[in-house]
Amino acid sequence: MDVARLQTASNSTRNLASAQENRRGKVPKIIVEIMPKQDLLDPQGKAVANSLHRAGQEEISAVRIGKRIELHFDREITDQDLEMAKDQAANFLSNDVIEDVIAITKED
Amino acid sequence: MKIGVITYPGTLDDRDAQRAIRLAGGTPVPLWHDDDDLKKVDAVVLPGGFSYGDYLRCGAIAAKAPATKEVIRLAAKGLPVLGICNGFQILVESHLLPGGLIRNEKQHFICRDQKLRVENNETAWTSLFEKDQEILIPLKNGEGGYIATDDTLKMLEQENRIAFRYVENNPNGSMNDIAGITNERGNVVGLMPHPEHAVEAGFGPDTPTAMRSGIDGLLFFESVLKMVVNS
Repeated sequence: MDVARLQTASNSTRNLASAQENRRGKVPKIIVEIMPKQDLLDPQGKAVANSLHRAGQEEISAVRIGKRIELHFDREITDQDLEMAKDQAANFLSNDVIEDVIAITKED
Repeated sequence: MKIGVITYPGTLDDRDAQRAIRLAGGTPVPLWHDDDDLKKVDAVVLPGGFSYGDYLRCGAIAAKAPATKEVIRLAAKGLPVLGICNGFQILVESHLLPGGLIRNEKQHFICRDQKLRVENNETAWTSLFEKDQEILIPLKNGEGGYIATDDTLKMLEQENRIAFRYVENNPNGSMNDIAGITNERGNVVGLMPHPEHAVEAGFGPDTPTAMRSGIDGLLFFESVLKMVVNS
């Protein structure tokens, strides 16, 4: 049991390390950011705002929650990749009836 | 008369839809999401459930499945398609129907018998109803709030493309009380409530006549069978 637990621990350390590596930008990626449309009710954001208010942060007037989607690559990102990301962001990753694509950025 | 029912990973009501088709006198044909062969069916039902775990957005991933791509292709040629609940969400994500579906106004998952008015009885799936007939079928969803742009809503109203409206109460904040809509041709219909759960006495909604005797859902399937026979 202990061995298994140790292995799990070491795996999660490794995952954490690689996640940190990703965050430092070592993996080439395209980041697509999506938000619910301004005039739509964002229930998640509303619930989080209520909780923040309960914690005394009453100066926060609203919270809105969106999505960050990372497209990872094992090679350098080309202009075509960005075009593809733009296309997929518009046609699949977001739904323009309910969401807006806020940004598509490249991170090397 | 063969009516296909597509099963996606996470679909729940495929067996109920198959049973409804059988009770209406048709032959249900199980179809698999990953197979682009629709087996020459005469009509297709996209059943309810949580396809692909509702990942990304409800119906978004199912809209890109091989079977759905074939549905999109054949719907343009007039194949009758009925999307129920998650199936409705798949139809809007496939752009076979306009608009979108968002979380219910009051955030609650709602499960109850719901009264609807049949606004358009000229679609493939509603021809056996009277115009303005009020029907009772079960509703169960968390993301059933229909929304669309002002232009789309105006177009739907003007072109008589609202197939069903909620009566007495709007359970989920849907714009213009919309419960279901149809495409221009009337072969594609999507709605949030579940007609396949009101097809057999003893298992349907309660009616003033008797407990669980509601079978208003049966007419959806009988309508399409009649149309296919006549064509």
